[in-house]
Amino acid sequence: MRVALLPLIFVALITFVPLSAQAATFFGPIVPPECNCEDEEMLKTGDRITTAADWGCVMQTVQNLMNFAVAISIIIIVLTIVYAGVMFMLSSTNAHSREAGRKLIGNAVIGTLVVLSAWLVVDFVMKVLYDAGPEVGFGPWSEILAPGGAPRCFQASGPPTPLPSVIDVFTGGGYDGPLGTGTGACDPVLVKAGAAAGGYSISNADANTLACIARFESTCGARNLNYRWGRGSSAAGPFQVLLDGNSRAYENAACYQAAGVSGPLNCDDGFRNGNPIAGSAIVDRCVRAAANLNCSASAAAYILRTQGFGAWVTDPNSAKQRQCINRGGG
Amino acid sequence: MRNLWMIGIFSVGALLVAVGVAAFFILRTTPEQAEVDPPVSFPNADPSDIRPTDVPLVEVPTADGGSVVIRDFLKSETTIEDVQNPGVYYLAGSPEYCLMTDDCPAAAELPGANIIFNTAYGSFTVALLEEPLSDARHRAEQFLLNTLGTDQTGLCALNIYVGTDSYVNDSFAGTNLGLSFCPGAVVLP
Repeated sequence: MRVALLPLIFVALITFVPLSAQAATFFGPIVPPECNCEDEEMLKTGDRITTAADWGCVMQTVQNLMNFAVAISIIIIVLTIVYAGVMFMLSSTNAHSREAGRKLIGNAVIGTLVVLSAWLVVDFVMKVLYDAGPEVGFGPWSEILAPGGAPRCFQASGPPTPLPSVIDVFTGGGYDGPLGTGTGACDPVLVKAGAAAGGYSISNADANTLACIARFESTCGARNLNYRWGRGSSAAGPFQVLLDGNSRAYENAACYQAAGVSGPLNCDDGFRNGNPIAGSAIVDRCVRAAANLNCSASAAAYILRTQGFGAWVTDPNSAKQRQCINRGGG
Repeated sequence: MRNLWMIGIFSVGALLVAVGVAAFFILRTTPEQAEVDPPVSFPNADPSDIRPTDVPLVEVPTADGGSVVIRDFLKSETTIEDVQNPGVYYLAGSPEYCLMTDDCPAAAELPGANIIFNTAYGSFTVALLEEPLSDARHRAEQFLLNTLGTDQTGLCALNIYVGTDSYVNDSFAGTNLGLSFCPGAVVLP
């Protein structure tokens, strides 16, 4: 008779064990979908990147395993009782078979009670150990620490720190970053790209130095016009290149595009003695161009090529710009 | 008679099993899911003072790599985009240029300071434009508190650079002066 039970158990196992995999089944997946922390949709949810399943997932998985085992047990018990009943009724003349069937039914009933009692005992013990409180009541014990709807994955505090750029940025001394300040004029990568937009190729070291200078000249581009604008100074843009005295520095494609013109800017035509001529359209377009990082970086690259970094240390208040230059080897 | 007894045992057993199955499935059912608050992902700010309103909110990164929810200052009527530098917004002050339409964009008026936000970095920059720096910084702080709708703790969590240039104050130029109520802030005379 025990041998006869084996096919039933075998069929039951073949039927239900595969269903315990990840796919949604009558019992639900053993590992909850929300614990699949590498799911692509979850990765798209924002800049917090999911990493790994947390303790709640472990408990939920254990709970699911228990539920699955109990469900399988009950199915086996039902099949056993059915088998015993059939055997009992079809073998009414065979006392031995009847006795075996009766015994089988009794064992099945006892097994049912044991299985369900075990489930309740685990639930009770876990809740007592975790001091879940009276409000929890009956129900899956895993809910104590991992209530439904709660996040089930550890979350990184933010996106991974980007790798350092190809440009080595100064550290310490008068320049300790940060790069992400102002309009980006303190970011050597953007400075180099901006100069390239105007047709100038500058070295990484020079980009570093210019980015350093922008911090002291314009708070990284957050101030466009010099404090003495209109009082003898025509310095403008993140690198404070003179629109009047260094007008040629603005004659490049990046500045034309920023100004919205197709030809020469001739910025010096808009100034008299370093001061802007009131109402001059030339001044307007040149100031507009100088505010653009690409244009200003290109103008700075032109100054660097024609005058060197010395152009930034003529003002008495340029000690820190000099530090940038000295550190950069300029 | 004996058959009836056996049928009775069989029926009771089946009934017990049925009750057990029903009890199991009733108890294993996840209880009615209570309304669970969303995960707290902004550890440094308490935006409760702005949540009840319908003011649009925006999530911005914090200095420690996290994020904080503040009032959506980009949708403020006084915030302007720096069209010459895409992704840069002026919350206060002016980029000091005029467009081809002769329109000269300007954000909220704030004497002595420009405040800009760079979306590429998620960072605020407060450029102090005049002495005394302490007064200019104080006005900028009040402006940020009002505009961003957060408290001092929330502001301190943000990525904010407060600085000035060499022509305003050579000594403090290039230094992140910080907000006066935040740890590590430079005490200004």
